[in-house]
Amino acid sequence: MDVIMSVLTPENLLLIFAGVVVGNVFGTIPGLNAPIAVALVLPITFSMETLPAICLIMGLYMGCVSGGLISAILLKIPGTAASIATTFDGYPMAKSGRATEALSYGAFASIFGGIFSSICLLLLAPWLSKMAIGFGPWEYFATATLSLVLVCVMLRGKVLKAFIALCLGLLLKTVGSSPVDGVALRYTFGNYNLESGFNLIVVIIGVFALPEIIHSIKNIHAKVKPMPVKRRLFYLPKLSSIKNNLFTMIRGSILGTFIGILPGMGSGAASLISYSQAKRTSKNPEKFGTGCEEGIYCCESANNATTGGALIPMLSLGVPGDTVTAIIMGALALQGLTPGPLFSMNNEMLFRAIIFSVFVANIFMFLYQITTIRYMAKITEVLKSYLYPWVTVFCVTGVISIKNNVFDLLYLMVFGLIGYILDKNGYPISPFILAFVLGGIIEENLRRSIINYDTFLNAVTTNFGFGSVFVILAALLPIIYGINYIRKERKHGG
Amino acid sequence: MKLRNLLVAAAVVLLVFAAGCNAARDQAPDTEKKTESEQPTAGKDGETRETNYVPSKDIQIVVPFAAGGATDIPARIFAKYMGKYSDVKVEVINITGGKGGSAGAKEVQNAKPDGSMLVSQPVAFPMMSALGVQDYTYEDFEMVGQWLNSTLAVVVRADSVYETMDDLIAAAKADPGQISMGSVTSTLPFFAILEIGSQRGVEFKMADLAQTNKSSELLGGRVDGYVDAMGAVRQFVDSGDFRCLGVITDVEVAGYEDIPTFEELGFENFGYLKQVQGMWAPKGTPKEAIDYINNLMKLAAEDEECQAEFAELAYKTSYMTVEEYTQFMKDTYATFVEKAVLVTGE
Repeated sequence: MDVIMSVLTPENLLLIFAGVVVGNVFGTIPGLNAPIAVALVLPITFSMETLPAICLIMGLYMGCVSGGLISAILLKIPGTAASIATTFDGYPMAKSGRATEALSYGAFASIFGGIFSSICLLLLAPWLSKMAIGFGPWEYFATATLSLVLVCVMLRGKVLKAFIALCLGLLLKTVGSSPVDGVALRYTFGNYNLESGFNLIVVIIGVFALPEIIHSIKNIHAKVKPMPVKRRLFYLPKLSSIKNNLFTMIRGSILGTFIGILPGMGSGAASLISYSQAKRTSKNPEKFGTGCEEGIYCCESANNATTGGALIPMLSLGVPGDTVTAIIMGALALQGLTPGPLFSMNNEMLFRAIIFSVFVANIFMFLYQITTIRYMAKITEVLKSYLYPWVTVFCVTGVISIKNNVFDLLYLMVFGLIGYILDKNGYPISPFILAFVLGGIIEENLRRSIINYDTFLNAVTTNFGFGSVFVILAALLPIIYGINYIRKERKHGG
Repeated sequence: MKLRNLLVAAAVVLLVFAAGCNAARDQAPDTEKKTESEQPTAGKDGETRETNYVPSKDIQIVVPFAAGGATDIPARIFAKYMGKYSDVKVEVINITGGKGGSAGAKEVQNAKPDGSMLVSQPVAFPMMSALGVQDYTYEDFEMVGQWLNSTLAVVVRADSVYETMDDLIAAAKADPGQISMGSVTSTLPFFAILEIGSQRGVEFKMADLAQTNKSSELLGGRVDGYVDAMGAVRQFVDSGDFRCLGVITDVEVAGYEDIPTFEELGFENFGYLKQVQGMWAPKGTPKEAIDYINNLMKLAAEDEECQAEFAELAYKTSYMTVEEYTQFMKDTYATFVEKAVLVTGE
């Protein structure tokens, strides 16, 4: 009770709310994201008390992760890496005139995932972090590789094209200095700027936003039909829709929480993996990509569930689950606190207060989103000839703000072109982006495993566990698929 | 159509593999060194230590790594106390990028030499320079002083068979190259493991750890031990998960007097394995400005509150005069050039 009261002071509530609103703006604008927002307020928190500082940061964190869905649904431009998968079904739904619905599904799935994972954090943190300890380089490599294979195989009828897109993603991820030792420079052509590789945010803006802008030029002066937006205060999804998708959201949340626990995987990977998982097990997989509710529920619950997930290893092991939690750990250190195995025991009140602030931040985030849906949806009524120049400006400033490097703009255009060409020729974009997200993890952890076990074969055989099983699956699945495919072709031919 | 798709797929796969087979980059750094002939004119007659120098602009300390990191946190605390004794504001900004913080250093190198911009020097600078990754040295900057001292610790799991450092060395001797010690490759702990190995004539397996994910590798039993900052492993030692076999310093760490220091363990020349941080100013910064900042650093380092805040995170304040620090940097650079052989093996 004391814990709850300590968070529920006007000051703290105001800070959480301010964090959520600012975070939402950062999340919505492509290029600005949670790590940037949190790093920006870090110096401010230095002079604050511990709990208010935490409240502000948690508000920002939750606001950012879910803010990305707004631009993903309305413009097909993911505001953050977390909402890449939301574009797949959110945008088609918005295009068919159901923008407010799509936004309310997204907001509901977000709070569901966020609350689910914070409950996990409260009840299961020590147990889950023990599970995360069992995850070594070999297991990281195996999980990431299997995810890529699954995303490929799942795209029925397009497997070869998906594979090409995937390899292209992996290839572009190799640009820059090699992981672990940093000695070899790959495909840098002597250009200093390429040594650190391509930035994920720039790539996302490149392959999602630019092709969309190019497409829109074709009918830029087309009249937009004003959408029938009912004037309501809150836009809640229909009860029946929630009931039908409850299982999807629970699964997405579990997946998101677990991926959040694993350092380095991130919310982008979580939502993409959850999306492919949901599509594979859905009763109507053919509806995915055309604007189905399930497609929004599954990825938005997963990406918000990573927030609580990422806090679990940070609070119980001192191992941050993602970039934002790494900065939060820094903020705690500035307050003289070191998260680690003793943190929850020595600072029990604070530990619970942090979790409770995540709770409150999620609720605020939800309330803020469902009340602003009405205004957000208005974006779709703006004439494209006004809207897209502004979107372009935001994308460019977003890219520039990452490193203040004009070189980023050059490869933004190149990736825009790659995205356009892939899209135009029917190559799916999701394997490309997932390969780019996971490529670094795969390479780094493969190298670490080889250092540990000397050879690849040794790695498979010694310490035979789920890691090795995943690797074998990843190797077998494409072969099985290939054989099946050839058989089917023969049958057709004969 | 099908065939064309297959060909495209094959080509892309080949390119991915080609990336893996890329030969190591030519390591030879540019040997021709530009000798800076411009000497700061003000530096000649800076005999009097107490001048009436008053800074006209706020002082910015550039931390070349991300906000909230192990380099950033002590810098922010220290800047707070420097500001306490100064008439102007002292603030920390983060300029990240490049290799081992080179982007931040470059920014300061090219800044106006008016004493308003400093870079916090991490131990990565001399190290990266010795490995041929960074193309600048302490000679391209004006040395200001040292302010931070922190200690590395060697840890194993509490339930491991290695009760002492000698156990670990004996095991490595019995089974060369099989005892795995973790560190982030090419960082100070990496050098520390190589130094232990070379002084005791043993060879460890050098496991690579992720920057943010070190403790779980040891907790999960995938490495036999690792080296990291005392501040980072302290919690695990307190909680009884880890056993600390030694701290790489010559004085005992407060609160952990029972842990043997490297001096007690009989190691020599481990002075360069301390995680120290200093301040550098752009070349040509007037002597008065440098002395003024050095004095601020002295006052902050001697501030009891500041020392207490540092101790909380297992750091220690440190102070050196400009001359001492310049000599220290000279020695450090020389040592790392010598020790780089441990890494490159040439």
